[in-house]
Amino acid sequence: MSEPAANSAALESPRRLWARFLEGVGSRSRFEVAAGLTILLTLFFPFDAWYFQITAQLLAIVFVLHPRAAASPLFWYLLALLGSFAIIEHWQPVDNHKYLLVYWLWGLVAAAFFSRDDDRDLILRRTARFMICFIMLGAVVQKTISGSYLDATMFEVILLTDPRFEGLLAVLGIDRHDLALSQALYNDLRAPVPVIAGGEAIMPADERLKAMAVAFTWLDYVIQAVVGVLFLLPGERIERFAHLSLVVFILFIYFIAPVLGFGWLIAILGIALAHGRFPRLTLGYLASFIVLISYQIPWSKVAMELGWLEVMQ
Amino acid sequence: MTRTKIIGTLFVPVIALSVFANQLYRQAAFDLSAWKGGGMGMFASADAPAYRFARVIAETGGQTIHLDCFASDLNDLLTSATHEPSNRNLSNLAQAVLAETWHLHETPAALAPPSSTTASLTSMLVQPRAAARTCPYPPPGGLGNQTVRFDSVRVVFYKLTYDRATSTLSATQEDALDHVRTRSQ
Repeated sequence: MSEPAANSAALESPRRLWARFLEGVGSRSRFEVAAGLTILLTLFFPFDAWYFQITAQLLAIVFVLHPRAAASPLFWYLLALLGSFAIIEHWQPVDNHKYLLVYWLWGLVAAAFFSRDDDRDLILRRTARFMICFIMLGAVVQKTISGSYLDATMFEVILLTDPRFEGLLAVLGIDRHDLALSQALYNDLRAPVPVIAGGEAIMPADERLKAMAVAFTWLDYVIQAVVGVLFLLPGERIERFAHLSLVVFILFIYFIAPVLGFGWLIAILGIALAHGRFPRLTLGYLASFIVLISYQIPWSKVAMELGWLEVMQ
Repeated sequence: MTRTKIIGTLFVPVIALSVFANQLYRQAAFDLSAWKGGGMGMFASADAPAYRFARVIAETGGQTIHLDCFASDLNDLLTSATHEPSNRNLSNLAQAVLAETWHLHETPAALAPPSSTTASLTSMLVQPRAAARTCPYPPPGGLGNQTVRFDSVRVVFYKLTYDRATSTLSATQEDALDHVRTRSQ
């Protein structure tokens, strides 16, 4: 008779449920936690290639029915190999975070080759640390040499023309009509047949938008440089601060530029490093995982429909 | 540390740094966009793929036609040509346009660009495999019967550059490549 037990579980207090959740996360090995979250990542943010998507879906079913299957190198080898094919097939248009996903899948292959938990942990930790530094410092190098980042040109033109930022700018009080105009000018300049004489257009960039572009430029640059350098340095206190900075980075950057698959991957890398050593920070990463999902809600659209944005302008 | 562990630890860094070095090289040698190619350059430069484009202009029987309705195979070549505008990529696109047989359609006048100056926009040509979703000017009555092959194709590559001081966005021609049909084609 299982009914009384089921009832008692349902009546369990939120505090006890939370404690059991923490216990569950803590009792799993670093590899198990990273593997489970990576399977979710390949399922929700896969490559466009049909062969990768189907394999990821089948392997997710295998994982649900038999979690120990993810301990096999073959499990990750299949995903890493097919992800590599997907990149080789279309290496130019593929986003950088898809390259990173493949690197991480190869990291899991390398870790799964070892049977001892300690060895797997070591490979995962080193791969995750390398990848965080690579992502952050690689971006800093590109931004430093690009010639159109540090003077805020990149953010200013992106804010003016990329509709993904429209909601954020509307919330921050930038005139939506100006944004609609700048996007229309951008589209006209790119038209298959020239429609703007001289091929030039003056964009409606007011001082507030220019100031925002400068602020985003330096916030993004400084936080990436800080996170990248902190993860290179030794010491537990520094590492704790590095993780804290990375959580802030995830929550801040992916709110502005919602590339959620990228955000999830960085959170997984953070968990792979923090698990077992910094329980609260591990929870912070898990929370950021969930918060990133909420970034998909079209907040500005909802606010516009409720009339809040009109009031703010 | 055993040799296996060293290999396991260095496996990902070696791949990632090789791809990164290749991206920097292609950026310098072939103008690959900083945003692409695994170089961690997303949001690092105003020279993003969204600010690069190509105009494909074809000629047949003395008439000039601007093409913008491509099936996925030509679209892939167009993407390659704009992400990394090497001579090879621009040439591949031009050759593929020449190799294609195109179908003629009437363009709905209401959908034509307002300041169109050429007669070419009174009609348009689409690839038979191009689905309506890829066409900005969907043909009104299905595929036409008239087919045509081009005598020559010009691919012009542009970048949109932004001047902060004057808030001016400009379409600047960076490169152009002509291909004329040969007897063998």
